Amino acid sequence: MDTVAALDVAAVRADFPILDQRVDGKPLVYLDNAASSQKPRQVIEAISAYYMTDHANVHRGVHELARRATEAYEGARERIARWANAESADEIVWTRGASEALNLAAFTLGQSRVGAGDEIVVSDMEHHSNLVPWQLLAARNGAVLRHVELTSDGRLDLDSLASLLGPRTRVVALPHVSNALGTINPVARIGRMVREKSSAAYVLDGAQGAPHLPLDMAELGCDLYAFSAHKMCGPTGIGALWGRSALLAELPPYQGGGEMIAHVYRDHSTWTTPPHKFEAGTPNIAGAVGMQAAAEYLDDLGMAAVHRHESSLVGRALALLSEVDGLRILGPTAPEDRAGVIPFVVDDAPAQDIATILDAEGIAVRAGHHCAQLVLDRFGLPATVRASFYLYNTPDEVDRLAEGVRLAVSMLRQ
Amino acid sequence: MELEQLEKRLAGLSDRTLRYHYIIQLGRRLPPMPPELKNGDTMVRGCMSPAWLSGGLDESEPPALRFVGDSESVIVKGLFAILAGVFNGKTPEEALAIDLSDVFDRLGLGEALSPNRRNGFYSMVEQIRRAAASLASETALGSGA
Repeated sequence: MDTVAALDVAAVRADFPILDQRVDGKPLVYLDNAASSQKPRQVIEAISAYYMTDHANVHRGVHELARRATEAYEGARERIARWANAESADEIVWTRGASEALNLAAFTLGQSRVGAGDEIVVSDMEHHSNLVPWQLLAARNGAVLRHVELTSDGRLDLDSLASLLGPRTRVVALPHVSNALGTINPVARIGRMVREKSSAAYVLDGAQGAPHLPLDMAELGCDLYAFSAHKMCGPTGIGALWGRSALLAELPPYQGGGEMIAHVYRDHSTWTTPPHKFEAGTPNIAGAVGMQAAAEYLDDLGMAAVHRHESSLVGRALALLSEVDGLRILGPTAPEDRAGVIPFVVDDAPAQDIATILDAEGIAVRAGHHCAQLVLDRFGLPATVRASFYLYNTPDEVDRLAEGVRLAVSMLRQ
Repeated sequence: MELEQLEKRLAGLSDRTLRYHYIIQLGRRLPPMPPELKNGDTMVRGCMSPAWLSGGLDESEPPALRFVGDSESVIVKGLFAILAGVFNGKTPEEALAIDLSDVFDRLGLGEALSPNRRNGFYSMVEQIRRAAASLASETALGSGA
């Protein structure tokens, strides 16, 4: 029986004050959610309430406000752990976002597991955040990067992956969902392949996965999972790295400073346990509070309902856009294989010009390489237009996108 | 076209889409850039669509700025046409005195100058300004010698 409740989009939209505005006299249509999502009142108010009543530094003072701030901060960690179905809050390391989480993963795995001649497997689908940190590590340690190739419909080529896995593979780092193609990768299946053929740490870039799909760390089968709050209705500047307890215990610290030590001597220090071992300095407490509010907001709606709503928008967009003459959509053709990201190009109409005209029509999309240059190289394109949906977008907005694209193309092709 | 005329024309257009429509026509009317001038040296950095810019002082007395440019983006090409209309024929000193933000605001195209745009047009503007500044200091040195 289907138990997923439908999303009441009108009620959702009422929670997002920013959506109720006009651009150049036209109602704003915000379709740049893969870059950053908007924030509901509940998140904005949680951050504001924290600063209005509870703020102090965490873990340090014995006074009332320090207690409240620490409870808010550690309570947020527990809430995020529950949201991601992690085993314990100690598996959640706060970071500035998915990029920092991946840099943390690359740096610490580099210290503990990757040596000269060892291999790191990434793919041609990566956002630069899950590519450049591994390039830096490979250069530092003399390791070798191997790239999983993509199929013509924008999926990871699993044969290519299988051929790369072996005894020298120390890390496999892949995206849960592609930000440039929209592809939802079969990450659990890949996890089984990785385990069978190597002893590598399996790292997932969840920046585009966590905001859009029900999360279950036990099912994903990875060792580390990076995600950002700002793409899931939370504030900017905060995110998390989920890690298996045993791996987090093995990894060395990332940065030094307050909070992360057990004892400090003149010439060396000892570390506290995870997750605090990885959290030097005063953290983004208000950010954690905001991220908790975002997770609660999404949980109340149900991630399955969010995903289903997005899938229906994607189905509508695929149908309407594919009717535009000369328009080509990248990525898998089946709506169920993609998250709410639709990248496209149109013959004789440069991506940036389409995006500029859509902007003039009040429709916010993105044009460019979307920080995933390898994807565009793979398809031989300088840029794509990317429309990306979220829980507050409506079928009408998809229609306006399609109309806007038609208008832009007719202006550019004359 | 004179700037005042252009301003009047654009002011008569009620929204940004129509203004871009007009700018696309300007781009289409721009004299083509000689192909031999489109090379690595004239390629404008930071562009999503390839763009080129070339120019310097012409032979007139006093020497005036003369730029040619092109872009695979029709809109950037049209915006360059406006830029060429503003700067070409001006001495470097005159060019430096122009408040370009004010010009574009009056044309209702202020957003085109946003550094966030990364559409190559901002880089074109920066390059023309730098060229004008360096040519102005050269002519100042020349006249003092």
